[in-house]
Amino acid sequence: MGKKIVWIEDDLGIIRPLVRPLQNAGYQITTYSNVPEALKNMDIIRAADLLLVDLIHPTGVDNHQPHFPGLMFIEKIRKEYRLQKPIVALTVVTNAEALGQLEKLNVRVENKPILPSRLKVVIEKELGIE
Amino acid sequence: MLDDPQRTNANKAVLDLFSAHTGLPIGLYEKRGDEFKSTFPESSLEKFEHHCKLIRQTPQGKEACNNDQCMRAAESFVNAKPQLTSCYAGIWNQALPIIVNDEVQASLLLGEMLIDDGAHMRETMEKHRQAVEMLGLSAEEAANLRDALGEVKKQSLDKLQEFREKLLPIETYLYTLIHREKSMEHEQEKVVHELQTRLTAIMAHSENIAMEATTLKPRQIREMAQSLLNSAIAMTVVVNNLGDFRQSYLFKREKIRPLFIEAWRVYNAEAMERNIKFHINLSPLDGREPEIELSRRHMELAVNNLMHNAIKYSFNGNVKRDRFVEVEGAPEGIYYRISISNYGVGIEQSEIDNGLIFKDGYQGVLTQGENRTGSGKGLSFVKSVIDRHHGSIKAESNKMGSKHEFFGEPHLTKFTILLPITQPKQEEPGNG
Repeated sequence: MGKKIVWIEDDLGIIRPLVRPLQNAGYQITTYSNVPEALKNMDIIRAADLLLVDLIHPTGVDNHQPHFPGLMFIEKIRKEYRLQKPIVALTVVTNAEALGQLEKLNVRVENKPILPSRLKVVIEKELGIE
Repeated sequence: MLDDPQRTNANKAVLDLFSAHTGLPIGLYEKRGDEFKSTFPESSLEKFEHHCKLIRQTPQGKEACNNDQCMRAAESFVNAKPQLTSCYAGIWNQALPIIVNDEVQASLLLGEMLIDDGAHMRETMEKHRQAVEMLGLSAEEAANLRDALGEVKKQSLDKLQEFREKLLPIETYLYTLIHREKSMEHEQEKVVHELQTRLTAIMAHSENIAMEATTLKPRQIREMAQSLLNSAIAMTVVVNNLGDFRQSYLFKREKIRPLFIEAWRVYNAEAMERNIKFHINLSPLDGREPEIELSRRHMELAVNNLMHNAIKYSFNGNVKRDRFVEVEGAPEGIYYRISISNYGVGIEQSEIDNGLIFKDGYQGVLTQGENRTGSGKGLSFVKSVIDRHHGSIKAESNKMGSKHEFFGEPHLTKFTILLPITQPKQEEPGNG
């Protein structure tokens, strides 16, 4: 049984070429295109071995969402749901405050663009796969 | 460019000046999600009244003070106008909301003080009595607090009005300057996000082809190469929207249909992800496949923008209703009319009426939440291309009723373009 990865990313059509090689390598990937959709599926998130999260997301009609909804999601996962599983943030964000928060939340940050081979190495390292 | 700590320091420097001018402590409250971030300069901390320091020495008092200040900052965000209120212990503060573009950006809290008139002093004394009870102070502590209350600075209502009238416009201007770069930074972030996401797809497709070429069938390699090409074209569209890097207009008679078919192919992966169906129905022109005079390179980019918007702003995720992008066309006198419709995130009527949606860098109110990565440049570019073709473009966006909890109310949005079948003759340079 392959490791389970949940990927929250609004540009799913664009990141498919990153998903495919991971599926070929045996990973089971579940994707959500926004944070509320992901939060509705906490059972699947709890069962995942690793989470991949984009920081910049659609916020829907809720205008009170913070600037980086992905960060808000990660905070919920760590603080409210107390899940300590590996999280990798894939982002172009350079905001020092946001990056500082991610570090405190024990999240690995990888910048876009990223090659599939690099992403696979990062995932393997986070999952402790030699 | 200022980073966040530098912005905070700049805010503190401005608050310092105001605090020196008024002799009162001043704080700045900014909203961060559901919470408030407060900024107090050193000089303000020194000006905190002994009375308030005494109260803050008790755990209940400290908590009540913090809650009280945040509550008053929150109220000024909601009310969006200056307000003079007293805290639970009877000390007065003036909240001055900083409003930019009809939106409260932050709130200045000016205080701690007593108001030098009968009604205000009566309210102070009543609240002071209640606070002593609430905090459970001993007789000695209560006496000390009473003495400290007598030392709190008094201000007249006239003086407060003067502060309000003079300080608030200056602070609003300076706050806007300090934060202008930040809003530019957000704009740049969106553009970079859009470019880097496209680049990610290009790099990923390229590596996949390089790594898997020996194991794949020729058909699979062709499909992957086509995906790579589509991603590169989509990136070209984003880059071209950023500035006028295009060659001069060269008008030739061209078929319309391939422009839309090609655009659909470029964004097909995104459309499939959202389960969007594509319909195209172009009525013949003079009994033949419609052809008009156009500058192909420019019109390709314009059509790609319109088609990508239609796909991008179609609802995605767990939405049951069918989604579609529909292109229709028919001759209309000397013009050929083309409409592109989609079902999803719409456009506010006011944005259509005042032409905001075609303004460079403008991002529609309803699309801000749905897609934060849009640069707001696409429609402005589209309009410039249509104008250069001596045509016109208009938008309609009508609510469709049922509401989705995340995406809100769906709209049927339609862009209608009128393009001359034959371009008007240009005057030769030097003829007049």
